[in-house]
Amino acid sequence: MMPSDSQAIQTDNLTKVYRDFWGRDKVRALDDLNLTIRPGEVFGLLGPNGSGKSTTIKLLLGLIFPTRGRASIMGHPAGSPAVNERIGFLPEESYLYRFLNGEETLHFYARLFRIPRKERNRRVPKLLDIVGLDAKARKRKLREYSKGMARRIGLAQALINNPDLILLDEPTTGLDPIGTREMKDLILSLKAQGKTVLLCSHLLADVQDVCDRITILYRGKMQTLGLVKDLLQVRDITDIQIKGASDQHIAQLKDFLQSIGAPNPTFSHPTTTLEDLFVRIVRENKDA
Amino acid sequence: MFAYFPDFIANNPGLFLAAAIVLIGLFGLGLKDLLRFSPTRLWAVSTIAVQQSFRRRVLWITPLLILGVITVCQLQKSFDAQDVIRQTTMVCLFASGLLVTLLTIILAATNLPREIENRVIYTIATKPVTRLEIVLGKVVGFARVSFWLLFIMGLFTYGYLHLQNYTLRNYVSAQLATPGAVDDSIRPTLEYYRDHGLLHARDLGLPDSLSLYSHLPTSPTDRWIPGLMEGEMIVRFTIDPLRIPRADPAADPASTRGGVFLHLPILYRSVSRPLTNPRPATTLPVPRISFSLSNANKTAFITNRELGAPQGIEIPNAGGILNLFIPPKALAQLLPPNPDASPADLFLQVTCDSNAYEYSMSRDGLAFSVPETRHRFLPVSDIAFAGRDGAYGQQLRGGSDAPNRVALYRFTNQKPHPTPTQFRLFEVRLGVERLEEDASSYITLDFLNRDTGQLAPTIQTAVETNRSVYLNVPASAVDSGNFDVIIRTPSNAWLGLRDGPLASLKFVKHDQSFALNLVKSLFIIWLMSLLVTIIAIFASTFLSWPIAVVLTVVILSGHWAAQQVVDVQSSTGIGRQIVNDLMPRDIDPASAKAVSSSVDALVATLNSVAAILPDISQFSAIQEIQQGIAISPAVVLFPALQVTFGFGLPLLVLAYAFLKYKEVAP
Repeated sequence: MMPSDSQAIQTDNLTKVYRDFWGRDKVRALDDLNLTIRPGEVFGLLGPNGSGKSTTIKLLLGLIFPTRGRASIMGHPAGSPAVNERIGFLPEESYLYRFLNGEETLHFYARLFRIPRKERNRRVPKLLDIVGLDAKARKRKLREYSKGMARRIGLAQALINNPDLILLDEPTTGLDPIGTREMKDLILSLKAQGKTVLLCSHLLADVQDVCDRITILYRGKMQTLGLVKDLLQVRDITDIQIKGASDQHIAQLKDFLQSIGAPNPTFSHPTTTLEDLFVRIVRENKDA
Repeated sequence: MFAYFPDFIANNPGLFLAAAIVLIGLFGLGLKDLLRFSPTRLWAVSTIAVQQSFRRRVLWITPLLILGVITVCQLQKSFDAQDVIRQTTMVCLFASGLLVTLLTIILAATNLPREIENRVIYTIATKPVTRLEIVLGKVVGFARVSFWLLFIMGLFTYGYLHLQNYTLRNYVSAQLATPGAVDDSIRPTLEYYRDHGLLHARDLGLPDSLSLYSHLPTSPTDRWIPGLMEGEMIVRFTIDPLRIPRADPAADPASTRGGVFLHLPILYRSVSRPLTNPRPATTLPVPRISFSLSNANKTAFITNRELGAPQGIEIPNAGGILNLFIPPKALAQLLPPNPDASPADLFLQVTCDSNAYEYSMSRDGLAFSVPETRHRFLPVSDIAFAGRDGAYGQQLRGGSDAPNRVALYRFTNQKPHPTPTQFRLFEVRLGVERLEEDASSYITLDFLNRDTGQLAPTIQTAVETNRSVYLNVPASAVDSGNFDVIIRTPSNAWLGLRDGPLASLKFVKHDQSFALNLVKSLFIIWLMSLLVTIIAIFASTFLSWPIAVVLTVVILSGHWAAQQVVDVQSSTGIGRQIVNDLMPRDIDPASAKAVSSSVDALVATLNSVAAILPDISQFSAIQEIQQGIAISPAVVLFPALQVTFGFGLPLLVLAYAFLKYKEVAP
């Protein structure tokens, strides 16, 4: 299949076999992956450890080369510097120069994109605001950063070029629930701006919250692919939600459902998530 | 023009290989990356290397080094004021070079493997940076680090030397002002220090030639060397292999086809003076000569030993011509392997054994002749009369045993810079190998203006090994630019005299800025550090950092190490020589042949290794400035540039190619 410029990411029979020193096959990390990610969607790449998620990301970024098959990004071969102009990458951990401070880090990466000084001076503080690094944190060396702060500066460097495609490898690792929520909000805001996001994670709840489509990899092979809502839908159960219903209304509704032959309808109050509860409490106390 | 290429490639394989790597690497593999090249990205990558080095507190090493230099300078023993400056200069520059080289190796060889190991490379390689920009950026970055280190060390060196100059100049002035404190023979030297200071960068006028004779020639044909191998006669021939018929391997071994005759018109005459320790002999010994025939780069030799006369070849009669046959096999060692190759230069060197005679060689009749065609190859250079090579150059013997021996420096069209005084300043710097303990050594110098025939009054001065002595010579003797300087020594010693850029006798044309000379010297060190950086980064693109460090050191020292072995055993016949000299007499021919060919193969391999590795001896940053000589771009800077870019550029392209196809995710 020819790579299409209309697809954000396309892989054709993408295979990666790791070999030992003597050239003998050691591990088949990825096996014939055929994947198409459309522009503007948030795509989740799921799988347990060792399933081939990180290998896929590395292949897409040109950090390693495929044994077979090919990968293209926005119609160009993956890993070419021209493609890298349009992508942002947040690695699994923040692999940054620890002797630089936050501002210096962003200025360095901005220079790699040849962003003019004036624009850099405008964009760097804005990004630091977006990822929530305050004025004091910006002047600290990265070696002094907490894990959460390191993730934030990592995210900022991934966005320094205002990319069309963002690859996020375990973006919420090391973040507290507030940070996790902010990260997810940011991903949704990126989607709202029309950007494509490839999210690689094994924290399923995070993926469920933000992804349009997902694929699940296992032992290097794609096991399933589809819209999150389609994959998670339980088709033979219908959920009805009513706000402020009294006990009388519920009893009438129960009678009605039995009268039309619905077997054993159940009634309960929906629960919020622990993350929502945590965020609400922290925000209320912060505001107070 | 194109037909000339194969010869050019055969004669310059290294250059051809380097050009091929650069062209294929940059314009084949890397054309896209070359077209995308951005100085902004390169500078950004290089700035990171600089920041990383500085934040690792690399610059903190310089104060420690400065303290070390000052300590060493205080502990050293010096002959005189100039020697203090010379030693300080050497210590400062040596320390700077050592610091920069070691730091560069460590920083550059560890940088890339560590970025791959700690995965920082993920965030660099996924940006629109080409691998070319990464490699070049790192090279530029570490070159910037070296620059700042050398800048600091240069400032310190300049300041420290100026402080020493101020102190020593005052001391010399005080000495000169004290009656009787200064010997007359060194007064001109001290006056020069007082007037011009001790920080020199002199532009020197060099002699055209140096000849050593058994006595002063009275005419161009009256030139003689002493025996006992203390003198030698050297002459150059150009031999065209096409004019020598090819030997037939199946022919009679006695056939002369493919060989040449060497005709040597050797003259000798008995030394009339009485010897101090004459051997009791009723008749004079039979005079013998030894000869050596070598190719232009002295990698192959034929000597009288190969012709079956290890004790030398007898000269049958005075004035006769000695005819020696060089067999085809021996000649083949000296000529290019390709029979269609262009003419090759051969050097003939003749030495003589007995000191009962002095010897000469006439240009008339001196020739190679081809037996079949009777074609004659005549000498293409004048016969050079030289002294035996010693530790400090050509050896001139003095004392009562050799009262007539002379060295003659010839200057042609070398006009000293006019000054208001009636004197021109000359510098003498030679080596002395004394034959008597604790004796002072003196030399006499006679300046002969060849245009006017005027001979200036003899100048006598004391000399020490590697110690500069300054002489005021009457302008009338040298201002024409064509003059000879005749050197003798009445002392019982051997003088070591050099010619070429480090000639033992020079005149001072004018003084250049010492600061500029220091900058040139530091620039050469910086060029070396640039080469070290490139080698280290190249090694680190495919090796872990400890192995990369080792490989860098091996590449840097490989040429020198191979040269050390090859210099000792530079003859292609060394295998046979080792069998003859070191193996048991009863060794069987098969084993002897195996040993001989193994040694020859080893020497050939070492020669090849030496040819492709960088020659770091070209980074001669200390010698000139230490001797107060202005560094000449042509002699010192260009060879350093040639090694840096001739070796560094292809290696840089290889580093780029390796990194381009390297999976940077571990």
